Amino acid sequence: MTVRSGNQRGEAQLRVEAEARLAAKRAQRAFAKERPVEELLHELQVHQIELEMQNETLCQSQIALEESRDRYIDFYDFGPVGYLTLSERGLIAEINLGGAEMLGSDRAKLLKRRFSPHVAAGDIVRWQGHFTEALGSDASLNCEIALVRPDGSRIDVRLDSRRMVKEGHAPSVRSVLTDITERKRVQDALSASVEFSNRLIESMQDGLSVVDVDGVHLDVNPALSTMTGFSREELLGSGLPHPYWPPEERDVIEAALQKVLQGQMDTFELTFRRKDGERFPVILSPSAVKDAQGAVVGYMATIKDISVRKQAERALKASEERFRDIVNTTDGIVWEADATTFDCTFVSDQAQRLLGYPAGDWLKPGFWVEHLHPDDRAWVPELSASYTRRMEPYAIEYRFIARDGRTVWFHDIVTVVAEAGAPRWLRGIMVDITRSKQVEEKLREMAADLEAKVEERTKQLRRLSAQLTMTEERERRMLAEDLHDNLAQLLAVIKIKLTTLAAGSLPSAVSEVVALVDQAERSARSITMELSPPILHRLGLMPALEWLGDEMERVYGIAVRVRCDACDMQLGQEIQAVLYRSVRELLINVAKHAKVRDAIVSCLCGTGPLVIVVEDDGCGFDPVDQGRGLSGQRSFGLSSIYERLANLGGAMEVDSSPGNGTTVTLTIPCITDS
Amino acid sequence: MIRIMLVDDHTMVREALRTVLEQDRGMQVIAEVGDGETALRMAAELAPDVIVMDIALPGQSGIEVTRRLTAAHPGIKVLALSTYLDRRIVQQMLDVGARGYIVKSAAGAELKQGIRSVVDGRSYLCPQVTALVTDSLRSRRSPPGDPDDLPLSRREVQVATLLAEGKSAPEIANELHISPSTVDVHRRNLMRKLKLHNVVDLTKYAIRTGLVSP
Repeated sequence: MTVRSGNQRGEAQLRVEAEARLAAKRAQRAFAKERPVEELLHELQVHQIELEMQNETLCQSQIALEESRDRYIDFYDFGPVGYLTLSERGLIAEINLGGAEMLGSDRAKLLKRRFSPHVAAGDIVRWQGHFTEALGSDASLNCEIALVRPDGSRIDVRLDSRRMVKEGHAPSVRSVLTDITERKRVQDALSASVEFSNRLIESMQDGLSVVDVDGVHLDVNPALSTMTGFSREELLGSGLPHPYWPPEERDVIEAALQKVLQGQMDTFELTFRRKDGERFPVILSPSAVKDAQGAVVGYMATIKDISVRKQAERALKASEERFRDIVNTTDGIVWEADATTFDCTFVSDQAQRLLGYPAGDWLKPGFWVEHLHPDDRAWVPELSASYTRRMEPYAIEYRFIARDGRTVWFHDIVTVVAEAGAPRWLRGIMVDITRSKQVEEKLREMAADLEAKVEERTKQLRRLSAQLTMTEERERRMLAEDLHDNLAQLLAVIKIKLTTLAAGSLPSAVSEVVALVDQAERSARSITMELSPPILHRLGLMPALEWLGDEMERVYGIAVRVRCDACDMQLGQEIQAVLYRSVRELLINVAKHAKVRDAIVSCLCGTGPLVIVVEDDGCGFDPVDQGRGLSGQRSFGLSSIYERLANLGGAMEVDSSPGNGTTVTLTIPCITDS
Repeated sequence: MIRIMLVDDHTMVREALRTVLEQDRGMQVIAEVGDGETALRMAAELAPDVIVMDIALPGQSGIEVTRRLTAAHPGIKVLALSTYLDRRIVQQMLDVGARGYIVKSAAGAELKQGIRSVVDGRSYLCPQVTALVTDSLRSRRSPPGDPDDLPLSRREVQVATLLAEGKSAPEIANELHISPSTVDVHRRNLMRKLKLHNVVDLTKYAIRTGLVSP
């Protein structure tokens, strides 16, 4: 620049300056006026000064040039870019330090060597194209290639190349190498990031719309198209109202839009429509798009289709409602209570329906315990507490007092919910079992009734059976009396007549007939005895029992000791007959089963009931094995004796066990025959 | 002449008897009646020497009628004539005052003799009845015993021993494998048999008889 400005001063200017300098000299010497010589001298002096000045300028120029050259070299060598001059053959003619550094080698080693080996393999072709093109053109060309350093590292460079032509020299190519590794990385990253956002936008589940300030669609993502059913093409350029606005929702949406325009970037829950007309709920989140100066140039909004979420919400709500419905319509009262206080924390609606207390009452402390039936108020909480302590599920039945005073039976099925290993909550369901309890009660009553009826029937049967026994006794006695009154008398008369006919000695034939009559008489007598011993109704029970003892000894060969208290009690014919027949059966039992030859009959009377004890020291038997002693074939007699006595208000006690003999005690209250 | 009244509800029997008695000149049937009440009235009215008395009469039995007759008319001899052939009935009849007892079928051979015997102030039993009485006398010779002395059964002895040892009814029931109510029955029975009234008496009895050692 200096050089140039020096040159530009030009000869004319130089002359002017020189003239000026000489005039100044002349002025200094004005008093010496030697004109011609002086004038020549002046010319010479001017010229000399001109020359001096020229020389001075040249010197300055040279200095400037040198400075400039040094600066250039500095620039060249130490510039931030690489300078590379390649010969026509592609050899490195010149390279600055920066270039050498880029190539990763000493400058000295690079000069006169080929450049192409430094180019990354993938970029060789491109570089060669670039080089060839640059050689054949005056234009400045650029190209980006990667270089590979000897250490293997890569560097991205931009080449700005231009052909250099010097007179008498082969053309060369001068290239400026700019390290663009960083830029490229940023660029790559940038493009990757743009691609990423694009991909993000593309792949977003949510719809995205970009509109200008007038609401015209500038861009939409595929999700919005999918969501609305309108294609990208249909949406781009479309203005207000947007095609996916349902006409009926327009007011609502525009109101939201108005808020957005006022800068109120809320989230809006709106209803949009799909192309096929279906309405669907969305959440729209708008944001303003501003330029560098902060002016709003458009709006961007994400649109989330929440119909699925809404459906899930609806399903959840429906499920909860269903659950509530089940809980509240179930017959039982579903409840939850504190495991230690039994205070309710929840009851289903059924609680009020069944018992009349509103749910609020149930939640009051102590409510449940206080409304238990008074008889159940102690044991129910106690039992519940014991199950709770053991954390065992349980079921109990108890009564509860309804608001209107009714007593309601509940079957309560309870589970214990633990927290941190300790009982925390009780949950259960109280089922109203009042009806079944009533039915149960009714059944019990019916059973009792039935039992009473059975007992009544049994009594009737007993009475009937006793009557039958009595009838039998009567029949027996009548038969016996008939035998006695008719047959026995007849036989007696026959014999009397036979004996008187042949007074004195009887002919043998008559004697034979008399013997036959005697035999008939004995038969009649023994049949009479068997039927009903006349002694019983002629002499009474005690003589009859004694006679019975004799008979037993005679017929069965067992010694029967009959010991009777002196007894003047008047027993009814009926009772006497029953007792007689009972003792007779007991003695026959002894004779048949006891395997002994002795038996004792004791009659104890006096104060209190009449007691007759029939005992033996025989083999005994197990009353339990004998069907509780009162049934079964062996003890049929015992059973019928028991029944007969029971009917007369008496009792029978059997004490027997194998090897211990048998004692049968008959007890009968003393009722005199009316 | 022995004046005789027949008491029997069977006309046929009375006729037969009359036939038998009328064969004897010394005997005269002065009345025939069929029931006790008439017999009592006629006896008072006719004062027969001997009344031949059946036992199985309608209404009051011959035993009852005899009791009343002999009480009212000690002089009238009653001779029982019955088809019954039983020691106790015989004894009852004799106890209430009958002087003799003849089985009805033996009347043809025995009645006249019987009547004569009682009129003579002796008793008369026909051979069948005599056999009956001697049989019972023979059997009674073996254990005579006190009729009031009722023997205790083996069970009662067990219960008495345990009671005397101071055991309670439930304890005894448990030991003997019987029910407490049965123990109670035994206790009551044995007390009555022994004519004791309390456990102290029973203990004394048990010690005295060696059931338990003092």
